[in-house]
Amino acid sequence: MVQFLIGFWCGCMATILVGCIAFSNRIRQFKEEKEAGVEPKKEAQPEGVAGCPEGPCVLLVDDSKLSRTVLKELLGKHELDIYEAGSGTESLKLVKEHSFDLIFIDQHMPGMNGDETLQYLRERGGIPDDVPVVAVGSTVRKEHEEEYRGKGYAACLGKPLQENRLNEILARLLPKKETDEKPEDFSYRKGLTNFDGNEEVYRETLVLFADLWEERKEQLRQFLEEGNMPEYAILIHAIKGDARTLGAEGLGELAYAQELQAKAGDGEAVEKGFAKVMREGDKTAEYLKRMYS
Amino acid sequence: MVKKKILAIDDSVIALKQLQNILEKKFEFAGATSGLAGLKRLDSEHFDLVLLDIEMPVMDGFATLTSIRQREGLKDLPIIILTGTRHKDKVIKGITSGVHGYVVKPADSELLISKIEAALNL
Repeated sequence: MVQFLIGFWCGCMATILVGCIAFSNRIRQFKEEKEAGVEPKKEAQPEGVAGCPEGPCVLLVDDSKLSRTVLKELLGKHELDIYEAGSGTESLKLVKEHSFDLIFIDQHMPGMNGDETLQYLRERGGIPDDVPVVAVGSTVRKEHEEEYRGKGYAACLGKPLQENRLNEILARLLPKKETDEKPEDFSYRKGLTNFDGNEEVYRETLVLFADLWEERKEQLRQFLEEGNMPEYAILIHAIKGDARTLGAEGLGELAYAQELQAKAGDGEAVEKGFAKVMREGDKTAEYLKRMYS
Repeated sequence: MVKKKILAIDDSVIALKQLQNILEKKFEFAGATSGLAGLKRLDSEHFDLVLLDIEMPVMDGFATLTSIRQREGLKDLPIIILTGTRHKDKVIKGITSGVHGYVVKPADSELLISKIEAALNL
């Protein structure tokens, strides 16, 4: 019996030892290749990699279970399929099985650190270059974003996690929902150009437009009821200008048609088109709030 | 070098935000959401140039322009009007009213800055 137990124990230890050696060899090999400047063979993501049924697929790579839980909790509000890995090596298996839309990588992990994990996943996991990766860490600051972008990350997120910052990153990096509720001819790119590419101010202004919508809608309704076409024309003119500035071309065109009718004093035509422009305005405001708040 | 001060008068806060984003790196920017608010700012502090929207409630851009020009010391203040593409009649009226130029909204940053710099002889 004693001999059996000793044999069993030795067997287990040998298996663990072999596993550890194989694991550290893989990491060492990866690090050595990298240091030697050897271009490792890129492995393409296999055909038929599963997507996620519930929503966009997100992977969290962090050795701290607590950190993963906190991030998972914050991400829970966004209808995402969330997968977790406790190390770079563990994440490799997942990226080969799933097609991720967004990956968060902790910067300070034992074994492979964040940068090494990113490279490992890109080269061995075959994750395409356009899958955004976010650097997470206690020493990471928003001001370092340029530096992280230089290293191949799409964004960076400091710890302790701030929900606003996380939401900002999700709005920017997650695939946009294609629903029927998308405004007509809304072009983020075109709108952003009007803000010289300053995404922060552009997004703030999109939300500001959405926040103003209800009040403006009520004012328009009041002017229409009063038959006050001059005031109606001025307000719908401002809405048209704002919509065009922000890239909401569909609303801009509808508002322009109403502006011309109001300026011509054609209250009947304004009334006829009112519901349509209000619907488009509602749709635009809801969409902007949903996507950029 | 001290930044030149620009006052933008536009009833749309969205337009003011866009202008601020474009201009604040090069100029000191202030915004007013009505002709009256703009005149109040001009009465209390010095500005080097005014960007003026035309279609505003209560006091439109032309009425604001007239009031500015009636003020001693502001007769030659450079003013650039902001307008929509399809309002040619208003552009012509603006130009003949003694403004230094016009810019179509949404303002293109390079064009706007070059017009401002030309108006300020920079």
